[in-house]
Amino acid sequence: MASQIDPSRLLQLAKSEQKKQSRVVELIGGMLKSDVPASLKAFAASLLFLCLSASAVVFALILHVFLTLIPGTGIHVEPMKYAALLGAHGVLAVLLGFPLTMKMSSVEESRRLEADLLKVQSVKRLRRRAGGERSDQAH
Amino acid sequence: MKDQTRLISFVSGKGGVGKTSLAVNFAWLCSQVYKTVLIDLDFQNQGATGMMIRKLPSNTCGVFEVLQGACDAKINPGQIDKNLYFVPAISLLNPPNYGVIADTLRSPSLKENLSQYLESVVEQSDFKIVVLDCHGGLDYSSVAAHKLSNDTLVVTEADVVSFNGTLELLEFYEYHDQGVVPPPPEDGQKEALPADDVRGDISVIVNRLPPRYGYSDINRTYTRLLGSYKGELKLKPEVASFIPDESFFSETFGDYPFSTQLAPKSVLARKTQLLLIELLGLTDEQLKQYKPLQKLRKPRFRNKIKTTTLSKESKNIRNVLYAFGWLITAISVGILALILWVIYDAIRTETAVPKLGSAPPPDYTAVIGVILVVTLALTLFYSFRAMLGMIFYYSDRYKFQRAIVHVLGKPITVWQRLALFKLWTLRWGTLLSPIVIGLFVGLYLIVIVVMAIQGKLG
Repeated sequence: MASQIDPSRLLQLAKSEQKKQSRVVELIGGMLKSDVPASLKAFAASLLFLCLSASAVVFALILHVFLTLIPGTGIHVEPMKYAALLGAHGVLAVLLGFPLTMKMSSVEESRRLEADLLKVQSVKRLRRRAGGERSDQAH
Repeated sequence: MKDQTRLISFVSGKGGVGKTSLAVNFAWLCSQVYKTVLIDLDFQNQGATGMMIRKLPSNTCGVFEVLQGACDAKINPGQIDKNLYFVPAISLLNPPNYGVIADTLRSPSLKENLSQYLESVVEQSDFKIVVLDCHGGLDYSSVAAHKLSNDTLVVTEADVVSFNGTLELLEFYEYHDQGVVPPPPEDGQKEALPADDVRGDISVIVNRLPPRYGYSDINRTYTRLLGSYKGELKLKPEVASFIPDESFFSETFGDYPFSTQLAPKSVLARKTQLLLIELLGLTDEQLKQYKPLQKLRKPRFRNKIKTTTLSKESKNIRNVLYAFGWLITAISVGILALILWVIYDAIRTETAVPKLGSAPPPDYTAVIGVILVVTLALTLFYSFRAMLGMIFYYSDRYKFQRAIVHVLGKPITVWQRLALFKLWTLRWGTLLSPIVIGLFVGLYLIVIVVMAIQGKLG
């Protein structure tokens, strides 16, 4: 069974995985530019990054399993190593992702509000610069 | 006006930003330290008058009648609490004549008449604090109040519409600061303003702040915006207070005016207490006069209150989300380890992997164990925080609702009883259910451990 594995097939698999990952990066980039609410954007972005790096670990695991099946390589599957890796990854994602998502959301929402309020302020300044007599006279 | 008397106006560029609620609660807090009078200057909407209508005798004279000369300025304001007095905008029994109201507001002597009235009220009753609740929007009584006040508090919300209104209001004040008053409708004469106006500091309060803003970010935004102001007014570049949106009070709006009295530990109450301390510069001795103020003696607690932008509800929701996140992580790690172990076992039995004399692979089971313990500990920590937050939250809400029913002194209806019962159940439910669940889980674990030990021994 093990001798039927084609190394070029493995290379092809790696390439398609890379393609998928670059597509995810594109998706994240596009989403950050779009007009969806900042909190949702931040949450989705951190979730996508999490999936991206988790998929890299899973891919490494699959590769490892394939290599283990080739006799004579001396490579062993170490399931707990991958479970530990993914577990630590999950812990880090929650530990950093939650506060990061909230901070990102707060920063971006504040910036968006500031941009909106600045627009209002500049309109008032333009109006003032344009002159025109202010009056209290009843029409 | 006496030097010791402090005049504080609550104004806003648009209505509906919570200005009256803040003014009323602020005045009540002031009255815990000083003899205070709250005056409703909103002749159009009379919000504060509406709030106090149940507490006032029906023949109480309004500011409007005094300004018109229809009422004697020497009539004492109505007492509504131990140290708090109130003057309605318009007499409760006087049907308003809207044309006359408009004329009175546009009168060039409005500020002078108001100043004289305030002086006479302060003189005869020895008030130390005068709180003026003005109309939301561009209004001449608001201009007059600002000119006479030591502090003008502009209440706004974190949105474009309220900010636009705030800028319009500041421009309106600036225009009237340039020495002209609106001409009376008949003669069209313009008069120069006397130079003895107080024109105190203007501070901004951002009310009903949504939970999506953190303190440092929203504070930076407003400091940049207010700091760029180049007008003549004494506008403070720092926001005086960011008050989060709390459903706690909006649900009972109008039931009882002094909500901060009934919930002194709520975020709104704490923010108002801090505003009072910062504005009046209260000494430690004065803080002792009202118990909830005492905790604010500590600078660390003050800073905590200042930087709070989340209501208690939002904090509880956040803690529940954190606990849920950690629980999901713990479960996922456990399931993943199990799946990988099954795969490994299957591979090992089907293909005899040669060892080639190499060292056995390191065992990462201990790492998994540590991760599981840490994630479960964090789940428990956030669950505990969320649970504790909810216990206090429902306890406060129950006490608040019960206090409202109690202070109103009306016979309690069936629906009110049901609402109270619901809060009572939630209060004790949030306290007892974790204890009961904890006891069951503990008992179950003990039984398992005992059975395992017995099995081993057997």
